[in-house]
Formats: sequence, structure tokens, C-alpha cells
Amino acid sequence: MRDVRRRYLLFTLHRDGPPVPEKALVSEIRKQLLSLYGELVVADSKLYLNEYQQKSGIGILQCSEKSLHKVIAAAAVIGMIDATSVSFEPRRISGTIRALKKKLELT
Amino acid sequence: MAIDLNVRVPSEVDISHFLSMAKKLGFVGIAAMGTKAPYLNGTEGETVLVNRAEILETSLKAVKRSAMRLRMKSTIVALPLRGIEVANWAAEDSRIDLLTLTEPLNEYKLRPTTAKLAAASHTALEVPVLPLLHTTGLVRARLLKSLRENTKIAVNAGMHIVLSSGCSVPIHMRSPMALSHIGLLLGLDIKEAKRAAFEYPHTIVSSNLKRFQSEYLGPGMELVREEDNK
Repeated sequence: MRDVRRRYLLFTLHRDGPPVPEKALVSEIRKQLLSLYGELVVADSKLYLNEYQQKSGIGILQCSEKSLHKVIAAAAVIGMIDATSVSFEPRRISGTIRALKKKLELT
Repeated sequence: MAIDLNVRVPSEVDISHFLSMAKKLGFVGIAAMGTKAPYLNGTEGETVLVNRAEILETSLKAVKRSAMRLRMKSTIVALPLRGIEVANWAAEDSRIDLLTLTEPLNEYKLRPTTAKLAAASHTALEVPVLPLLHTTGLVRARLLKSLRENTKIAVNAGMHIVLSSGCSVPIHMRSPMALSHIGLLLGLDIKEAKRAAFEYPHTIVSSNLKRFQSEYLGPGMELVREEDNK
């Protein structure tokens, strides 16, 4: 049995500059989460980037249900990653990745 | 049906960039400031574009004069939260839509009495989120402290909170869903945060746009039918 309920978030990373690599994006979200909520939340967040299209900025983020709103808030206050100005747009939340993958294929 | 009530457009040329970004992010409209575009207070494509004015005067006499002048031509009239006397007057006056939290935040604080007056006259507290995007660490912690304190005072008094971007470049705009989650950082609960991003801005704009219609006579009064004088 799973001990942590997971949530999946479909998002778009709008940018003004060069594309943002996957690693830099996850690292920045973790950094903001750590700064705003602390180490325990980062530890319990189970943050993982499932899908990410670097060019379009569309991706699926996975995290624990408990930390979902905190993860979105942390991502929303990201203003810049490396030298790229960004705007994180959370689009859809789902309990299964399948529904979001379908949506991702459509976009 | 979200509208970003605080977009600072540097020049008329840039307005199309803001409109396209707003559409991408899911806004149905923006309230732009800093441009004298003739098509303001109307619909530009599919996005509603209204103008916003800010009263920058500090003396009460000058503020009253500006409020009268700006109300006639602006859909949104906002007053940055500064002196107590001016804030109390604005909180009671129905011509002022928003009391805006502006920097330096530690100098001016919303008082519970002002918040009660504002709640009674449906004046909302506007929180621009832009400063949160440019700060980190201790500076952001101080900023959050001020924003959370002011938000708590407003919510306790029954004032509506409006979340806006306050941006002057399109990429600093945040989607309504992102704004509502930033509302959680300010201490709002999820329902109130959603209202602050989606519902309250739209309500303010739609009720103010009615003022510009020819049928509008006054608050609660509207010309429904006119008899022909033949």
C-alpha cells in the first residue's frame, strides 16, 4: 500500500529568453520551497518532474498531496531561472498521470 | 473570469504584448495604467481592456480633487496606502475601488479602523505580488511579514482582498491560479484566495463599467425604459 498520496500538476513555463533545462527548473522550485517553507516540507514533498518539453515549457510535476499547494506557491514566485525571466502557470491538477498525459498529447 | 487589475504599460506599443500574455495565462481582461490609449474601457479582441488610475497626491484636499476627476474617466481608481487621514477618507469614499499596498511596506500599515470603514463601503485591499518575485531570503521574509499582517487585518475586518501582478513587463504577469496560490502565502484560505484572484476583480470591473453606460443613473438606479415623447 502506498503511504503517500500523490498529485500530478500540468504546467506551462512561460519564458522570455533561452529555454530552461529540466534540472534548473526542478532545482529552482526546490530552492523556493526550501526558502519559503523549510527543509521538512522539501523532504516530504516527493517532488519529481515527470514530463517536460523544454521548448514549449509544458510539463507534469509530481508531488505529495499534502505539499501540492505549497509546491505551486513556491513555483509561482519564481521570477528568473539562470538568465531567463519566467512565469510558472499551473494549469491542471490530477490524481493520476494518465489524464494529464492525454491533455499533454493534445497540446 | 479573472482580470488582472494592476498592469503598468510603459508605452502604447507594448499593450498588445500584455494582452497576448493575459490571454495565454487565462485572464479575460486587464486594467492597464500608464497609457492613454483611446480604446481603453472596451474590448480589444477577446480580452477586456480597461484603464486604471492611481491617486498619487498625499494631501487630503488634492486627493479629493483627483478622485473626482479620475472617477469620471477611469474604470479602476486605486489609492496607495500612505497617510492615515487620506486612507480613512478613501476607505469610506465609494469612488475609490482599491487601497493598494505599496512599498515601503514597513512604513504604512492598514489600521483595523480603516479596514472596517473600507469593508462597509466595499473598498478592497489590493496586494500586488511583483515584489515577491524579485526578493529572496530575509528581504522576502520581511516583505511577507508586512503583507501577511495587512492581509490579516483586512480579512478580520471583512474587507475583500484583490491579488494583482503590478508588473511592467508581460513575463512578470502571473496566471490567476498562480495568484491564488500566492494568496496562500499571504495567509488566505484557499476559498478566499481563489475569490481574490478570480471573483473580486471581475465584480469590481463589471460594476464600474456600468457607470459608463448611458442607462446608469446612480448606485442601484438604472434607466430601464424610456417613453417616446411623440
